[in-house]
Amino acid sequence: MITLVENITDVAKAPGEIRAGGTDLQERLRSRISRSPIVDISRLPGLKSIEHYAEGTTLGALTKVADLGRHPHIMNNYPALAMPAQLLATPQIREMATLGGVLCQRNRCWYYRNPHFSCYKKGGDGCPARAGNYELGTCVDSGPCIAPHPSSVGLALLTYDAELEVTGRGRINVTDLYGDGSDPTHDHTLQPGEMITHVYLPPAAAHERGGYHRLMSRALAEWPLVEVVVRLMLDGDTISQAKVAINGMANIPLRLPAVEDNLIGKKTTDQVFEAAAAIATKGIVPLPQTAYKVGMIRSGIVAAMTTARDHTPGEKLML
Amino acid sequence: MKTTINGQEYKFDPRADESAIEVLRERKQLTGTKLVCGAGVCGACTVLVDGTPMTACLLPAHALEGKSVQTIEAHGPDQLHPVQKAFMAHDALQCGFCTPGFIIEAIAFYDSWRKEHGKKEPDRDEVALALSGHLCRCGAYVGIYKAVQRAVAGDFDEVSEIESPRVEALAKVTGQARYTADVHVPGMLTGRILGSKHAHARIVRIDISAAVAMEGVKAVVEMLEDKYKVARYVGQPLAAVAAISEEIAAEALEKITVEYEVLPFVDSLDEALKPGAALVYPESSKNPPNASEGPIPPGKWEGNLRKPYLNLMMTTWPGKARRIVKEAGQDENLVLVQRTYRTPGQTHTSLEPHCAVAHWQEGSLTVHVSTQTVAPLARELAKYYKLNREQVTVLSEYVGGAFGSKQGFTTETRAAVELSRVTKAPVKVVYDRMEEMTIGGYRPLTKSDFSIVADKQGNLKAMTGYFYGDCGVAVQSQCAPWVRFTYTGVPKDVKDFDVVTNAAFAKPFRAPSGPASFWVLESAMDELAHRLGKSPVALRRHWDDSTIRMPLYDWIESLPAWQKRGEAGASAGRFKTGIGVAIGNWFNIYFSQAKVEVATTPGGLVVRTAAQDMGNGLRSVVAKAVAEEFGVSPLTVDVQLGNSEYVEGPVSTGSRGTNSIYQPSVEAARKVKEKLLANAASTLGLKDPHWENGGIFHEKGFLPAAEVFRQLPAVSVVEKRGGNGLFDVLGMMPSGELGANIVPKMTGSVFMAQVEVDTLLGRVKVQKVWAGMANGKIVNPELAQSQVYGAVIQGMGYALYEERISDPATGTLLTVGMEDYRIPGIGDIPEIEVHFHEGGFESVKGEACGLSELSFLAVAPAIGNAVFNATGWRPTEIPMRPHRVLEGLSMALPQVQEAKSVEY
Ligand SMILES: Cc1cc2nc3c(=O)[nH]c(=O)nc-3n(C[C@H](O)[C@H](O)[C@H](O)COP(=O)(O)OP(=O)(O)OC[C@H]3O[C@@H](n4cnc5c(N)ncnc54)[C@H](O)[C@@H]3O)c2cc1C
Ligand code: FES
Ligand code: FES
Repeated sequence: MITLVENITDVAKAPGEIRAGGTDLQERLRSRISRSPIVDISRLPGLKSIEHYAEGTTLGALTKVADLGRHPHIMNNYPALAMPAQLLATPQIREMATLGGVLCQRNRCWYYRNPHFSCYKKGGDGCPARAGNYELGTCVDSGPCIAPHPSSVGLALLTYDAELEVTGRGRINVTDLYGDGSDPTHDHTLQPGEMITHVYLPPAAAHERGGYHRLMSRALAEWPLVEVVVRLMLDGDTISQAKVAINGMANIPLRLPAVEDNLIGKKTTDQVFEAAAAIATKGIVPLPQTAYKVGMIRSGIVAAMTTARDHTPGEKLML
Repeated sequence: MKTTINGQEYKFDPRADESAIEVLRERKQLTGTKLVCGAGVCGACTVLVDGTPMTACLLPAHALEGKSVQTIEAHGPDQLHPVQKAFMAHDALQCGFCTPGFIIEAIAFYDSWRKEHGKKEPDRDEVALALSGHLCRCGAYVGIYKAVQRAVAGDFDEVSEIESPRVEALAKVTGQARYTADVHVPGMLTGRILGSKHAHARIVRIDISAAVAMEGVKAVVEMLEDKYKVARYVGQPLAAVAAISEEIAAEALEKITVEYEVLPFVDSLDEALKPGAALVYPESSKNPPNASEGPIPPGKWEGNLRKPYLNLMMTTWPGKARRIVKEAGQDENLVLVQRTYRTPGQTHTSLEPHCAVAHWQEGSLTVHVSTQTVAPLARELAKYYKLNREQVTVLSEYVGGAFGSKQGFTTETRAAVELSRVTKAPVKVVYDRMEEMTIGGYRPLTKSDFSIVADKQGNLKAMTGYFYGDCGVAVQSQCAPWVRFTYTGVPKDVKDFDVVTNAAFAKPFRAPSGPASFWVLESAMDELAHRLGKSPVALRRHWDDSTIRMPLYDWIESLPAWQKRGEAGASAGRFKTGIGVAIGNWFNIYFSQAKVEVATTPGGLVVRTAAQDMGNGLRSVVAKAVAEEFGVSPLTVDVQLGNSEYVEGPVSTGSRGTNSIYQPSVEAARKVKEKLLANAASTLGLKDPHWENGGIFHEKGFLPAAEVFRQLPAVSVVEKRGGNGLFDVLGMMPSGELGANIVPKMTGSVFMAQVEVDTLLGRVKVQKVWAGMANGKIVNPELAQSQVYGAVIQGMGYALYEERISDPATGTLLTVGMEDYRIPGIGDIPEIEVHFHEGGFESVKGEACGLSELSFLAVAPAIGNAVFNATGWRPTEIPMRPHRVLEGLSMALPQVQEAKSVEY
């Protein structure tokens, strides 16, 4: 069953799962792990937009990921958002995927995506990945489900303290979209019928440098083992403000405030980056299957900070 | 709903969950667009939507409303885009299944690049980024880079005539090549297979009543072939359904209830060998599938372990070998390298999945099937279904990759035939990617305890090797023979052991067991050279008992990159580079009974043989052999393959295609030419006719080939290859279903790799591979080169990325999609330099030997040895994924591990 909604107010009334670009949902329908009716929002008017005001920038939920990656306003003012949008998934997927979809996509756990298994996210009552074989799992035990959070864009929004407009709920912070990882049954906190309509970014920061790194085995187009987004606000070569967030470590995207604080007032040297990165893994207890990620987390943070320092603003990022 | 497809308006009413791929392939029969992963990873389904490339497998059909879609069919033979011409000219394709997707993407890139940069040639990184949403299993990336770069730079803007080294390239770049997956027969039903949910269970009852009662379901048949009614791996086919649509068939599968009596299972080699492990075959009569291309020799079972008696033939002075290894530790003058090595299960994952369309009619069975054994399959089907051979026709015009996985009578074919037999309607069965990954085949996993001893002067003294192969429920991983036949003349105790587990069965995969053997042998050899402080190339030269590789050692030693290599681990800093070398040694096989027919028709030359071309280029080899005899272009020769009605050609396994078919093609062409000349004299009264420059010269002038074929009566000659004479080892033996004759002289390779290891992130990047090959005459250099590129790329996947992983609690395979099972992508491809040293096989008819398998063997060990040279860390386990590299770099291995030997 499908409802093609023409009006935002109809979304709440229609039963089923929202479909925007469909790049996540169509795959789940094909493998039959998702079967609910479809609420297609792709025809809603006015939601494909990038608009800037004095108070910040507003992005419509149907904006394509590819557009976030190539729009000059985003590239120049929100480099740490443009970078993941340029490199996540594949070129074709980025042209189809929407902002709302990339934020609300379901996770990529081998066990969740495989119809042979039952798990918390499919109405079951356990996480088979825990005792299973899942080298891509979270590094730390952040909640009953050990599937890492998937959204590269959600990660970037965390570093901007972005807010979301959600139908029926009003404005929420992006951290409220993902919760604290204790509820293993969902990948985000939206209830059926609730929909993100817009994302609000704060005004562009002065002297911002964006950095992004995906750690993977192949060169391109692979889900990362660990990914890091960094924003450095610079005063000459001194860091006046830093925002650092990481995926692949926990089942929600994580901000790393201790790392950020450690950077403030320091120069952008390799030594400073390494010392700050070391804080990220201090005292963490890795899960047995993913202890290898501990070193990667530090390496990934250093690599993203290095990009932030060395990358020419306004240019496309090459991995 | 309205949309525009290739310029024409199309109205339709999509299902709720329908994707654009179904609209194109099923509603519109536009089958140039391929469905492979169904998950947005491989890009084979890429089409332009309002000019932007999108993956049709994930694009909702509803999103096409008001849009304009362009598929590969918009660029037919008369409207070739420069990108298509470039793909043809640069041989940017092999099996061709990924090709339409790549071309569509490249066309969009061409347009956008031209707009921004004009005819400036894009660099490799730009091309890689643009095409990063595409995968090619054949590894045609080298040609793809070149084709895209040169097309954008303008080389093909003005070209009208295009010559491709691959004679069927035009059909493939236009999406017109019809693969089995594209076959559509009116009234066709869809078949789907139900697999076991459990890794080991007795099937008590299968209740199909609810499925049979469903509207649209035409038949349900049982599929379990086990005399004890036991399923021994997850996904093992239990039943199959035929229905009028894919959705109904899928729903019907869910309505079948299976009552299982669950039994204990083992999920890995190590578990299976533990005392008290659950038994995969607890019954007294065991009948495991065969993962090799040869017969299963007798052996002795001990629990899940099987010891083949063939081992006794593999050893030379085994007791002495064991003693030398055992005492080497105490002998001042000896150096011992002793380690345990591991290699992963490597999935074939051909882009065209296993598929078949069967039609059982009164008195005949016609099967379209994606296979590499057209002729034997027809025989096998006839035998299995008790039909006359003449009643069975097997058709396989184009095959979208196989690599060893599509041999003989396979499950999808059995399902299609069984369902068609019941319904009398044509039935199509196509594996989805999860099935392809699970039961489509893989290279066995291995664990090897290996020891090698040399004296301080570098003389090889002894080897012992105990190779444990995990083929799932199957047997016949055979590493020992390759170790036995390489560096011969010293005491060797080398043995293969089968360890059965509750996993789907492995199959032969390009150079079966070879890559694991050479990973072990050549890693150990390199380590020994290092410990002796000797050049690994010089030491190999010293040990090598075959002359075939000598010129290749010279070539390697002449390379500046080799001469400038540093000491192991000497490279400083985060990024470390290193150089490694390894050799390969491979059987030289052909099929002495292979036949080919060369005929003339008024329209030109036709060549027919019941063989197949999976992208390896057999069609082009045959076309070229015949064309050169006549002095005409290969493109004018109509090569018809993939039909069991033709005279029997070789199967496409064991690198035997060229060796089997090249010479008879040349011979048949010669005889046809002679007949034509005789006829020219007798029927046209031409005086003194002789063939030259593409036609007949005679006293009064010249008759071009086209006229000769038009004016003279049609002639046809069938030629058989025959043996090479006394030199064939098995030439006189009955060759069995797959037919093999072995030339005693093996083919050889020496490969070198240069890598960069990112010691911070644990990533190994292969920067360059030098591939030295000695396999006799190279018949078609461009295609031979493409084959080597493909092998290097698949070998890289084996060394660095690819690994089957399953769930220990249930035995279910986890790496079932193309994003979780990682094959090399375009961004990973190094520069590859291929060096053929021709000659050395004068005793072989035609002097041309196979190369597809030979070129795979040395890739992984060359990379592993380069990683050692870069970092000082000796990898023993592949794939070298980041977590293994980081772990390896953080701890040094002990020099000598505990010695183990196995006795009977
Ligand atoms: C090969 C591949 C690689 C990938 N790699 C990455 C990667 O590296 N990083 C990454 O972040 N992503 C990656 N992705 C995932 C991809 O980004 C998502 O599939 C895509 O962004 C989803 O967007 P969509 O519009 O197509 O979503 P849809 O499939 O339409 O929807 C996805 C989910 O979001 C919900 N949803 C959609 N819009 C809204 C809305 N406005 N409000 C509330 N809920 C909504 C839907 O109900 C659904 O549950 C990859 C995907 C593929 C296929
Ligand atoms: S089939 Fe669509 S991307 Fe693979
Ligand atoms: S040519 Fe690319 S998959 Fe075969």
